[in-house]
Amino acid sequence: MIEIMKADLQRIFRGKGVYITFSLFVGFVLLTIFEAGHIGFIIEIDTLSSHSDIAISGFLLTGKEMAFYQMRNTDNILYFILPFIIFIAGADFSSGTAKNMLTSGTSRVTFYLAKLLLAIGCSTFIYCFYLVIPTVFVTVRNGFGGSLNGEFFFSLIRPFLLQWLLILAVTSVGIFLVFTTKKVATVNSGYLAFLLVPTLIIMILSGYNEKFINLINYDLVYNMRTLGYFSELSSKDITTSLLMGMGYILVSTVGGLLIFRKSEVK
Amino acid sequence: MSETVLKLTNVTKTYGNKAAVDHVNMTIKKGDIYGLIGRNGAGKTTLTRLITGLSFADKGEIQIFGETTETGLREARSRLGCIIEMPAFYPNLNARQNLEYYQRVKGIPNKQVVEETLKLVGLMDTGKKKFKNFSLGMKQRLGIALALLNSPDFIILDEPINGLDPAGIIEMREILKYLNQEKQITILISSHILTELSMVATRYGIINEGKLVKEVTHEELKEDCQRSLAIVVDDVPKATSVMETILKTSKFKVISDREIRLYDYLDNPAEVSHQLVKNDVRISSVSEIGDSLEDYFMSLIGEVESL
Repeated sequence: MIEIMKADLQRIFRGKGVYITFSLFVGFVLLTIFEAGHIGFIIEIDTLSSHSDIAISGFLLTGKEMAFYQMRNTDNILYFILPFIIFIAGADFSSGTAKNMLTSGTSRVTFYLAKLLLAIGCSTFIYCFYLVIPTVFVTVRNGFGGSLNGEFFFSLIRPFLLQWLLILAVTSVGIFLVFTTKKVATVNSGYLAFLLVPTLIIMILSGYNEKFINLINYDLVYNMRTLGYFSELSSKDITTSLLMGMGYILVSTVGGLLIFRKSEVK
Repeated sequence: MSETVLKLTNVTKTYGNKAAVDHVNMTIKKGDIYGLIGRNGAGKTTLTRLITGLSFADKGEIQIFGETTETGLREARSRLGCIIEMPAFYPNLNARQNLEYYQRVKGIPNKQVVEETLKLVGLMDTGKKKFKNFSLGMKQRLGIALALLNSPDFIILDEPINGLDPAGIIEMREILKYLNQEKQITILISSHILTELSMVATRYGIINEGKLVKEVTHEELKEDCQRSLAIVVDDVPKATSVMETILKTSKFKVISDREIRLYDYLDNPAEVSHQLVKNDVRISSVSEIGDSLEDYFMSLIGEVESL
């Protein structure tokens, strides 16, 4: 499995697509830094312990605040994960190379898990890059805004891990789509629909009946966003996010493997 | 007794109500070049897909190198090399990069294997040209290279000469003969081009509408296709005696108690009739028979379809 992952990593770096996507992503990260401070947006900052809203303008964010600001907008990076899923797994079905692997004794489970783990590795890198680079950049410019004490790490690591879990869940769903549909166009539309449509449907339904708004608690993207406001979340909210993340990973991976094990490969 | 490389027992695959492969029984022994012949849509590709694990049989058993279990078949398939339908590679990588990728995933330690295989198939000089810019012939050659990369014991090639120019077809033929004779690789090659198969195959399986209609050796096929005079007489011993003593030929074969095949005097059947009659052999019929490979194939399929 590790050989497939290494070979795939080497392969995707031999193509232009990964560089183009990563350049766009870096541009996006730089834009978030610029947006968070330079333009002078009025931003509600929820710092570690304070629930007070602080209106700021100008480049006033500290590194600590920047980390939380980024976490509130993590759902944006989900769109950058999609190309990596396509490079890693979709390419094997669009080019037909999946059959080369499967006819040479590689088990379908190994093939699936190798692609999933590499995609997870890439999405983890993207997530860390998205959080760390702006935080470091702003810290260098404006200072960290406090001490790097245990309390900070504890309050940062918990939402970080939960958001990471949800990112892994979305990645798992992406890989599930690749291995069950085997068509890049369907994966693209299915993935985007998975990110956008549930929120939209809940909003429309809640227009008819307010009770439907409670469904938003089970929307993966919404959950990801709210984790940026971690200190305001109840333990029930946190548990819901945790279970949702694990549930999506489990269902999409087990389901994907069961379907792929019995499906025909063109 | 030579080792059985592949054994199919009652293998069946249906799509909807149509049986793409219908109770196929087939055996390939070590050292065979087995030609699977059939028209387009006869079930050749489906059969190769079942053998290689890209598709699953509804019924029957597939045995490769004696293995029949899921795990055993997977192990056995690691000794296979194959091209199923069109060769598939990453379009943005060149020939060397594509093979290096598979060298790595297959865990082949010999770093020279990529160069050696490219040399064998004549793709050493493609440089940085990407797979997407390859001609069909180059793609087929790279497909062969991939099939050979892990030094397989058995290779399965589905329509490997599709898209090759005449020179490419000759080269492919030479490569296959070399692999079979020098490297002792067993080969299953499917094609609808019978004449081409007849130049390399040692055994044939003729498939039509999912059924394996007939299996013949190269010698049997040659004999079936050989032109001859089919002579139906009332006294076979007397007729054979006339052939040996008067017509001075031993190129005949007794088919039944009334029929003889004579592989001589094809240009002068009147002389044969004359001598037989002169020696009191009554002739019911004399006819020239014998097919080209295509005629033989079509007559075989025709027989099946008329049943």
